[in-house]
Amino acid sequence: MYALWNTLGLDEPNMRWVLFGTAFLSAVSAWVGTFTYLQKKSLLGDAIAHGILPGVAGSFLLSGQKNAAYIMIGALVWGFLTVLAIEWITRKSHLKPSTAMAIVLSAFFGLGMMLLTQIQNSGLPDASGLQSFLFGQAASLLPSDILVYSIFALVALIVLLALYRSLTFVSFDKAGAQSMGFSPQTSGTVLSILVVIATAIGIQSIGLILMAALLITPAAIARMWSQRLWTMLMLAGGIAAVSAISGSLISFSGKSMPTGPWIVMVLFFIFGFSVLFSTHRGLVQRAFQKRKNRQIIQRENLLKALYHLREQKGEQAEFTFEEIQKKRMFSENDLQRILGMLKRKKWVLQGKNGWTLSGEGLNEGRRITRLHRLWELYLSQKMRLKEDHIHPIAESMEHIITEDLEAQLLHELDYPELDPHQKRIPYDTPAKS
Amino acid sequence: MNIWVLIHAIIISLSCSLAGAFLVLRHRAMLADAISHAVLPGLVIAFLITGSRNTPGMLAGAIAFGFLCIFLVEFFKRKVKVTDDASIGITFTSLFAFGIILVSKYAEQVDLDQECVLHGEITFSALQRMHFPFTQWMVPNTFVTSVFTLLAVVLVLLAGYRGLFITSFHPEYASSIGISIGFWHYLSSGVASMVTIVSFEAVGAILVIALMVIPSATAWLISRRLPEMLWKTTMFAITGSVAGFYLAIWLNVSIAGTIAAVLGVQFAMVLILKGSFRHRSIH
Repeated sequence: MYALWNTLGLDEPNMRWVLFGTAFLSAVSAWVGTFTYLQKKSLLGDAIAHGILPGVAGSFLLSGQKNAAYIMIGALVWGFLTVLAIEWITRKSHLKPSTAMAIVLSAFFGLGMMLLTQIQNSGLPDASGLQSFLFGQAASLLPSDILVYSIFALVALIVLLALYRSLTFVSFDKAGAQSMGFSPQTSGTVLSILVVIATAIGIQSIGLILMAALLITPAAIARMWSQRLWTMLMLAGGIAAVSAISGSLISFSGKSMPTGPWIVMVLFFIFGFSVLFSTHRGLVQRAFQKRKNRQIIQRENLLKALYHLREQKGEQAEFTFEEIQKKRMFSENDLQRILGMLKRKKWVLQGKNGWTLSGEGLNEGRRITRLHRLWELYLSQKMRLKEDHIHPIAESMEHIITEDLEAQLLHELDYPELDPHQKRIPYDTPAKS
Repeated sequence: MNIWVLIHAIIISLSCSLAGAFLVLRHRAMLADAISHAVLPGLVIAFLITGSRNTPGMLAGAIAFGFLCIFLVEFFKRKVKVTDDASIGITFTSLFAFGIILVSKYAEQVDLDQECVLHGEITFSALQRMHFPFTQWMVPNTFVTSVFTLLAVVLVLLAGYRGLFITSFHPEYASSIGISIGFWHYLSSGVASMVTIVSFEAVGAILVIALMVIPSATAWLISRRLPEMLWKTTMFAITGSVAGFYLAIWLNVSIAGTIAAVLGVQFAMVLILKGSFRHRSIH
């Protein structure tokens, strides 16, 4: 363990600075990203990240050195220019913001490329180091760089906290916020400024090409696991910090490995994991739920079929597979499986000549039949639907009507005796006369 | 500087801008951004397997990743309920990051570096020459592919004009008369990814976006009908790449970057001047 610690260079205080620094910077970016995610402006981060290249290259060209403070100033200036240019285009033309973003990001990035090649031709001593701004090289960070970026990150964090309430309000209820006097213009501008800072602070560790991932992915992951803004922010921050640290460590261990792509890969793994297993949007959970629902529906349909058979053939009768299948089509396999399941629950009994409902099964079958017929009656009486239209709707509604809704239906229909097809509506206790 | 490089740049800009026009009309401009980043791993993997450039394998690999990108964007959006633009952002950053890792891991074999992914190397592509089919002209290697791509784009445009037109402007009407919006969406994105891949090596990821989006957006500002918009798109693409090319040579800087910047300046000028002429545009 200690050897690993050493090989990764963690015994050097410099390295620890770098790791904790990038973790903090990434968390701040993810917090800002959470709000852009909620306001569906995620790609603004990508546009700004590409758009600041002329600022980075320009400040290098003017100052002749790779100084974090100058680079930060250049990045912020061009970040704001990017935002202004996008707003100008959307205001002056009919083009959508996304088109405006694509225009500005590619044109500004092209300008940045011109400056970069100019720098390479100029033969300035630090010129090769500029590569690290494109794809990130966390190892190239000095403690003094981290200090500069962290100061800006702190500013962003303070603004975020100060405006937490209004940002939240606008994110979840834009119209409401507007009617309460929050100007959407102002809050949009504030958010754009925050995105500019959040993007600029990451350019040296993540690199500006992939910076967008740090604003978008943690927020999207957090959204899959939580329904509350506060937990979402905590999660997004944590995920960003963890991926920043692990991405940096992976890139330190390989030669000439850029940091940014590894951080993005770690983020993508967490994202993929969440897509599969998240608690309320995960594919596995949803497939599981779907299966469970299908089982419940099949079970209820079978109980209903048995109840109908019992209505027709009398209470003592036992029913064979063929009789059940004639009543309602189940495949042989399904029927076997569902009956087995119901038998284990003791809702059906297996007699000499076939199957019959137990007391509990009877209650359940009666309940489903009652709900079906009540809903049919409701549809024909209150919704005035034709009698031949109502059966399929009731077929699906019978599985989802809750007890409350049933009580309401009974009250509304005044405890009816017959459904529209002149069949008796069965009650557990004798119906009110 | 070689005249073939300029002609090559013009041909690439024509196919990119025409293919991009329908993304712009559908307000899917950022999909150009996504595709141009997402094809990188396909290029690298195909290169590692086949061991050479400019092979059908490389094309196939990149097209596969282009479609993977479009598919993932739709998948995350519909099945996982990630917001539209976040789904684009997550997909392309991840695929691009994967591509960059491959490039830096196999740098010696791949003969691509991180920077040329962004710049492209249109000037270097002029160094390897071959005969243009049926002629005596010695043209850059990738030139032939670019010419056929342009032909393919024009063919798809002519053959699918009505479908593209109707699904871009009246999607509801189109689906009500039984035209599949999905098919035309995938077709226009598919053409866009094909063009991206062919142009990627010459002009790099970012200029591809600029070429796909900016000329058609510029033309859209001052056009009332689709054919008018399309020919203006080609005009802006040509003027932008010619002016950018000579400016880059004069300043001795990145050709791809300069063309992108000049296209941006063109757009800004048209947008400023438009106000004084009071044009109405198609919506």
